[in-house]
Amino acid sequence: MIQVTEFTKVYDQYVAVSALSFDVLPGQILGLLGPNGAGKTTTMKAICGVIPPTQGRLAVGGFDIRQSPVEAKRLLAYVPDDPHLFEALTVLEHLEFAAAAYGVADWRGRADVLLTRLELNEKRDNLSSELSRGMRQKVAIACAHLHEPRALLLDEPLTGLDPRGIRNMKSSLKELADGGAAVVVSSHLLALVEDLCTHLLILHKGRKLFAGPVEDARTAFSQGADASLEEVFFKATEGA
Amino acid sequence: MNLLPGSLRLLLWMHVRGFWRRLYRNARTPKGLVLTLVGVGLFILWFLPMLLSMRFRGGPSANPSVLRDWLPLGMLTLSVVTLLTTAGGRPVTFTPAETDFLFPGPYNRRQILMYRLVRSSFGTLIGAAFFSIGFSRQTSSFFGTYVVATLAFLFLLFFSTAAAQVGQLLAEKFSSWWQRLVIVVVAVALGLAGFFSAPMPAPSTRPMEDFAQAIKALEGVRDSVVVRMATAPFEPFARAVAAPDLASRAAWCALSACVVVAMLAVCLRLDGDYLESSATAAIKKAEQVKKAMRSGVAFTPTKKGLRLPPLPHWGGAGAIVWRQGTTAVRSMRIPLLIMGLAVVAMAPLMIAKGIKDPTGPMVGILVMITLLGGGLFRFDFRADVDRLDTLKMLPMSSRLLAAGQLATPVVMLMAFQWLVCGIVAALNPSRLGFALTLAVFTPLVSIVFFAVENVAFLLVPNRVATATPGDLTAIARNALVFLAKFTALAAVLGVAGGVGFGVGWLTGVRSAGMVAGWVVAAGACAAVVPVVAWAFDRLDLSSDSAANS
Repeated sequence: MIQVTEFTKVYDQYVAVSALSFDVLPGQILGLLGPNGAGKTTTMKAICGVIPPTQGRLAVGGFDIRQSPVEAKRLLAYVPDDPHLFEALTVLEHLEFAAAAYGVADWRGRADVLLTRLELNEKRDNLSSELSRGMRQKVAIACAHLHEPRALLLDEPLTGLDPRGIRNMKSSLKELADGGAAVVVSSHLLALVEDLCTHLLILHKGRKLFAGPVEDARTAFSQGADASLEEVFFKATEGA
Repeated sequence: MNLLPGSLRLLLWMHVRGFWRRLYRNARTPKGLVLTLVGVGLFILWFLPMLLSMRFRGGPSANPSVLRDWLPLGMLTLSVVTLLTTAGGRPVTFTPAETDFLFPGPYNRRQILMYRLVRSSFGTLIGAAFFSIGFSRQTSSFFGTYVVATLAFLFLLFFSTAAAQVGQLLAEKFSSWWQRLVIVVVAVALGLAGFFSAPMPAPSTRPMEDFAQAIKALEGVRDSVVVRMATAPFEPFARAVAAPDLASRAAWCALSACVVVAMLAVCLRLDGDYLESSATAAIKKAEQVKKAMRSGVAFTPTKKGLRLPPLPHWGGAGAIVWRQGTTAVRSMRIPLLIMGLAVVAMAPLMIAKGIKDPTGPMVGILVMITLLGGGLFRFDFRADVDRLDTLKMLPMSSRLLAAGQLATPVVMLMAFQWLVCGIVAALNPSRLGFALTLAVFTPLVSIVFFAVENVAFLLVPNRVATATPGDLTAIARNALVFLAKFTALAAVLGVAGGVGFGVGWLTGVRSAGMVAGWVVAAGACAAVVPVVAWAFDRLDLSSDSAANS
């Protein structure tokens, strides 16, 4: 569903990402790991078409993000780490706009389900400027889920969420993946990645250290299959 | 291709609805209702007399040829300034919400740009209204001028967007430093060639002749072949404004509209890859706004090394003054330096112009600094909008806290006031007494102004950053604070002046009257500190915090 081939991004003289290649197939949940400045957000934004690649090809559902951006973007959704909402719009209006953007016909029913699940029902008519950070995060997540994307990218999705919100978030991501979507989660919370992800991509200074199933990462970077992801992460990045 | 899909049209409609909803919600509380009514009243007071005078006057009362002759050059100048400011690769501006929702959304770049241009066009409707009112004396039809002004503003909007995209495309195409250097050299050479091709009259030594010659020189520039060619696209706008009848105005308006549409077509045709730079700029802007909202000031602290020396305890007030003062010198180092240099530069300018007594112009500068200082030096309670709960917990009396909070802005403004007074005395020593009088009285005026600003803030807390264009409650609030400042000042100066006059009359010594007046004014200023403290004490953070505003 998501194909990244030889993706390189250079800012002036600084190489943010270097010749990165990986695939995310339908049903997979890919955990994007790496220290600060590894190139995680750059990669996600490039897949979304916000950042143009210096070299390489990025495609969603077979559509090249540079050649057919609208077709590719129609299949994906992106939730940034600190989502900004339209100040003068209510929670429900955000969903109404997302539905119109992606052509969701029966959006009201789906919106009700999402608002209930994310505990936003009481806030549906509140302006976004009246919401807490966690609530804004939930609105962005609801908008991203509304059109049932085939590829979902989330940058630090749990920031600001309460325990129930975290549990709902995890189960909804698993459901989405079970339904055939490709999910990419970038997070520093290794416990979340360990609990949620089927595959890992470890980046360090813009270079790929590992890409593959979580089990393979355990055997590649530690002694046994029961090693924690924390051990794997430090082994992988400290040696690099 | 659909340039503005239905979902983007829906979003634009939601913004319009959201604007009115915000006004309605603001007016639902008693505080909001009063501010809205005052704002509407002020707007009517300002707008109605102009409309009535146009209705009963019949035709233009000033020479209409002024606009016709100078509008094209004015538009060209604005375009050149836009070009120069966007030459460094300034991105097309979007809000952070737009970058988060629209950039990864199912839209191409042209559609997103079209949405942005339509949204920005709403602002031109308001700007054109101000322009039309401002030039109402030069025109016979307010509506005609409004249409032309709207078209002119739209042209400038599209031009600046096109310029930003050209900058982007050039930056992509010519990425090495020497390629960019060549472009800069060529641009400078072209600019210089245009400048020197215009006829310039010889300079004169008398001010009035200087002014007349400057106008003449400008006319020469305007009428030169190069500039006439460059201003040709703007000619229809000028003709439309000065058209004598409805038919010719309609024809020129139609031609102006064609120019605007052509510029829009250029803008969309360029299709520059602005997404990355605009997204980066939006994030940067959002961070700046966050910082400004936290600190309450427009300037964000930049220089960590600068700090004030520790101050005595003064019951806790010393720490408050130190904190605000250190924040001030770190945040406004460059602006303070520029302001100081600008004031100091007045002295050689006046000497060069042969002005022997600079008192008049310098008093004007002093008044301006004192009036603007309240908004510029916000290092008091207003800067602590997100720290009011911390201030409430401090183990110190609210009077000392209020005194400490007021000290920094008053001292900062006083430094500029004394600088101006020093220049007055230095350029004309015979005015030393007057300069000293100004130097002792103006800080008292500042204390009154800052105290009123702070009392207003503590009674009705708000954030500067939350005000939006066309926000009637923000306009009303500013007007009411302005009125309160001058009422308080009139009361203080009235009492002090009365006492001073009485003492001077009884003793027959003018200086005794001055001293008595100053003592009374200083006493009144000391009395405003408890008023600020009272406002702070009654502030209930649970029900009336700025977080809700």
